[in-house]
Amino acid sequence: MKRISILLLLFVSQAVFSQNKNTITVSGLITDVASGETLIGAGATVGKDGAVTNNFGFYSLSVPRTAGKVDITYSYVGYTTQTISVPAQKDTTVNVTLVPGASLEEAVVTAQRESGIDATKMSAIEVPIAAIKSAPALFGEADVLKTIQMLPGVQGGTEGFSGLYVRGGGPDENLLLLDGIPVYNAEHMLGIFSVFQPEAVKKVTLYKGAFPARYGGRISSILDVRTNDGNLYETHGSIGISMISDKLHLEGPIWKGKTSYSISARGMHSIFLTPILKLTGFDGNYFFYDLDAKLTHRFSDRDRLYFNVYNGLDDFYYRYKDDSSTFSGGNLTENQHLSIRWGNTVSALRWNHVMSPKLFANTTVAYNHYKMKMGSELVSQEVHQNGTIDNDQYKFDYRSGMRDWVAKVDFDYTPTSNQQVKFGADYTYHTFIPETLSTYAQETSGGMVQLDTTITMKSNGAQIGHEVSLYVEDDIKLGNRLTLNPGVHASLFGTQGKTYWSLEPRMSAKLNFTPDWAVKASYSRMSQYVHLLSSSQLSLPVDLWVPITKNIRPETSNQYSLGLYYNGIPGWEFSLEGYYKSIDNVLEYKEGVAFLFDSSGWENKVEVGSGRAMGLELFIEKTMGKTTGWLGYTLAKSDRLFSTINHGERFPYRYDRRHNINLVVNHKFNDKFDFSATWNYASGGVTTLPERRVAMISPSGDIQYTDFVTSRNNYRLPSSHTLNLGFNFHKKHNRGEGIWNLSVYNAYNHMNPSLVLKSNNEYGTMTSRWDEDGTTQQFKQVSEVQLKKITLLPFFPSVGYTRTF
Amino acid sequence: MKRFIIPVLLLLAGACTHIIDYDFSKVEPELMVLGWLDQSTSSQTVSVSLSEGGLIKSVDEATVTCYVNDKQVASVTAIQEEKDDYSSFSPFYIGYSGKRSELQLPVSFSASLKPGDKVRLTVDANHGTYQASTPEMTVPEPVEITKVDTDHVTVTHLDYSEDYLQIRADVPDRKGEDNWYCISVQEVSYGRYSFKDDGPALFVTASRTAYIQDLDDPILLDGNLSQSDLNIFDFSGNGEFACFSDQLFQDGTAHLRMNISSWNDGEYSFRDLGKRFAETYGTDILNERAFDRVHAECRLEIRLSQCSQDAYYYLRTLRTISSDGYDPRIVEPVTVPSNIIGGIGFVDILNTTVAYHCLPDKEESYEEMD
Repeated sequence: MKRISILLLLFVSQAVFSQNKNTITVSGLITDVASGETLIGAGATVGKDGAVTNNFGFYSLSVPRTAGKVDITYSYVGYTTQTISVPAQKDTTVNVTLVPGASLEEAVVTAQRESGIDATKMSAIEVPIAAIKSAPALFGEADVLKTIQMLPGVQGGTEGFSGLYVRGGGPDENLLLLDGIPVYNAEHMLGIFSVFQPEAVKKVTLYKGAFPARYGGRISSILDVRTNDGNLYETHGSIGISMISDKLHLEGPIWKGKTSYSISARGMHSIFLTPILKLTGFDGNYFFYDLDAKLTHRFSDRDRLYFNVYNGLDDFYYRYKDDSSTFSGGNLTENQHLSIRWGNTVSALRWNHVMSPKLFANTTVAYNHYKMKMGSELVSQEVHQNGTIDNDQYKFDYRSGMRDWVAKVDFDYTPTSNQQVKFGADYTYHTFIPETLSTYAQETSGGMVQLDTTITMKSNGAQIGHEVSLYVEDDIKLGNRLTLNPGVHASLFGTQGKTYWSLEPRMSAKLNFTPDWAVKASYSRMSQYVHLLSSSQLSLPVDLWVPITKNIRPETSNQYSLGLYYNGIPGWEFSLEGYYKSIDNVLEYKEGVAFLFDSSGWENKVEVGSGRAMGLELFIEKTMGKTTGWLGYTLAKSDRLFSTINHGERFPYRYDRRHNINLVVNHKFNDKFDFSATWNYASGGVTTLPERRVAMISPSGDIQYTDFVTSRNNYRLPSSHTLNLGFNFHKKHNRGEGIWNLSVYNAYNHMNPSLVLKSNNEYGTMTSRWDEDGTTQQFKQVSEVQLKKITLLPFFPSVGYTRTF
Repeated sequence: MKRFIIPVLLLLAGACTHIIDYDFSKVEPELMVLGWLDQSTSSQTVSVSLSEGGLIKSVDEATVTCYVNDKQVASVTAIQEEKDDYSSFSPFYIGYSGKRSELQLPVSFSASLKPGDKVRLTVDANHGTYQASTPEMTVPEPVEITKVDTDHVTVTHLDYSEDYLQIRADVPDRKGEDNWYCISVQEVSYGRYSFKDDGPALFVTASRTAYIQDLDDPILLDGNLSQSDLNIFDFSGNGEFACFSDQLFQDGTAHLRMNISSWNDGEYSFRDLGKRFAETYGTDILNERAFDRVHAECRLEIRLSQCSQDAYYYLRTLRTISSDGYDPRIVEPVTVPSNIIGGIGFVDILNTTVAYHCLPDKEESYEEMD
């Protein structure tokens, strides 16, 4: 491993320092003509050579030095291609503005892109924002992660929820980046929505394998979400209302052409949910909000400053009151209150600096905070027949969270038109507070205090982690057919007096054996220093983010991928990828431990094991024309192995689903009406269910009765399939347009299993008997035990309205 | 948490609940056989009952045949003597625990076992209606405990301290093989008592199985209590036995350190004492406190058994579900091992070595202990 990495470093170093005096460099920004918004992934090409803009809209293109001019073609999806003649005697800065509105039929000329068939890398998919916005929307709320779930190799976990399970990985194995900064909890409403607001998002790219060396810290996927910078010239915005939330998006110039802002806010309203809760007698409520704000200032063509803040919060409470008579003839009054609150704050300051036409630098300082707080209070009063009063009060406060300070610098270096080098470093100061718990109990009887105690426990206290990483990668074209992307990501993580290091070589290769056909292969090693401890069935806000410790080593994966690609039909892309991924040091709760309400430190509750995932993914995408969309099929298998779980035998991962089919269709009839449909079929997931009742015997002869479960995840749930439809009606106004979105979730009302619970229908009597040895024996007859399938999201129409201006 | 979240979800989906095709009442009944054979004695017992879906039922009669090295050494039939109203047991009632109940039919037989013997049992019940057998089991080799010592340790909990008796025992691993062990501690107390007015002396013996603090692996804990002993939510982590593998001391010696609650001889000894006095003098003088303990001593019996890997997993599972904090509604699933062919349950063989360790004499009065 070390030798491979050193060879890669030497290879990349040689490339970095090689120079060609027969070329000049044309560099600059490619932006939208109307808004000044930088365009990510736009192409600048000369003949067969080309470059694409990075995440900040910067490109650097090497062209032959000549006495005359060279014609450079600039293009971007949905924009009119533009050709500019540039003098080719010396390095030149050319900032280009592209005009939107080009025919979707028009082919886009790009060079070595980050995703798609043209890219050296495989297993990377850029999801069009238009597809996200026009997709069928549950509760009228378009969602980034729900669209991502429709990609091959990605599963959604529980039906209707936003969790991501990529290539057999867990939800914590995805690095969700908001403008390059990790977001730890990206879910609202127990995962029905994600925190990413489509109005604020400019570009979404998912990496499932062949990870670029600049990314690290998670082993299964990288979701890179980039947000709008804001319109530099005019104020625009939108307001919207869905069945769940109100939305406002505003962007515009503060200093025209120099400084812009972009604000997106979303808050849940109670129009829909509260009446339902009241109708059902549930005394509680829930709400969430998101706020994205971004400021961009352009000092010059060479310098830009960005400041962005995201803040989101979920809040849930539940109240319960009960009056009852006691056996002794008294009266018992109980009042209980439970609240849970969780949310993220992400803030970043970035400075872009063009150091030379070939070298672009981005420096970032960021702060990231995730917190969860749960509290409960039970107050009870029992009035006895004789008039004495007992008062009891119990409270607990349970908290978990983490805080990161991040400093990083990234460089894009383009030595030649055939080569693009990225390198950089970052440092993160982590403060983990996996769980703290304080409880208070007071019991009084007849005015006398029987108990009055407060217990505060920090299971592990705050744990500090220092994470340092360095990376370098080189996308290099060797001849007309072969491109390589070698790289290495090296990282250190120090905590509790112990330092772990990881050297992660990455390699991708693409071979075009005809202009239309290509084969790609890749290898990626990844390490992960944080884990999410989650319960078996649901993704809950009380799932704990925990760091590695001196006893628990980093999770690592090795992924091998091979793919075949074809793009011989204009507007169509075909790919077939296979992968095998091995995972080490994966965590799982021990058998029989409680995920909460247990004072055990989390380290005592977990087992460390391994896992593997393998699969085939077919992806057929139509990228141009009035009808766009894709068909994805995934054949996959994933399992886990722990020495003390499931008797030390392999068992299927909880989201092991063998087949998954996704069909996404968007059709634009005209400027007034477009339509979208998604259909998903997935084999059933697995769950653990008792098969019968048995007794167990101890060496001393004691009998213990229990449910009999032969193996973990022994029951495969029924398959699920869902058709979702979305209709968008556009009406032009003098300024902007109004868009009605009518969506139908689960159009043919298929009862997909979101949860499966065991149900006991009991009858009979309970008898107590005092045995000689002092034990109480209780018996109860039971007639039947059944499994109930809970479908959280049946046929569900929803409507939303957005007015842009 | 789930007790609040799940109701909320159910609330939202109240109209969307369906029964799926998985009915426990359709599960065929299977013969359930349970038992631990022991090389240290020739008297062996297994328990026989029926597992029928969600119900456990008693059998009318059962015959157990024991084969040692393919030779039949015993065949015993036992008949259920009485069958009361409780002939079936709640399948999903949580928290029941007790000695062999009337649902279990004990079948005792005589079989002397030597290390290395191959042992197999066949069981049929209800006149041949149900039949099952064990796999061929090998009697484990003996193990040894080379050194036993004790110490008194004080463990600080959240807001109080507690004294424990720490047992230290050295267990050399059997070399060249993977081994699994089960350990328990029996406390036996001997007391000599006399009336305060120089009455007759009585000798009383009381014994109990000590609770080893903490559920976790004694090798990993090494005498330290895990935080599960903080017990904020009454999640007791103690058990009457502990089991461990030799993964961390293979071919070496394990230096076990286990904490048990200090012997409370008042509660146990004086219960027996009261009975003895009542039998002798026809009166219960326990409450009169008219006697002194003039001599008392306690002996620890550290019982170490080598067991199979299957037995190790079985015992770990049993420890988990025996803990007070175990509630199948909120904890991670537990898989239950079974090695019965044609039925269900678990039978295996232990080869138990007992090491004795006497604690110092104690001289104290009943009043002082009260």
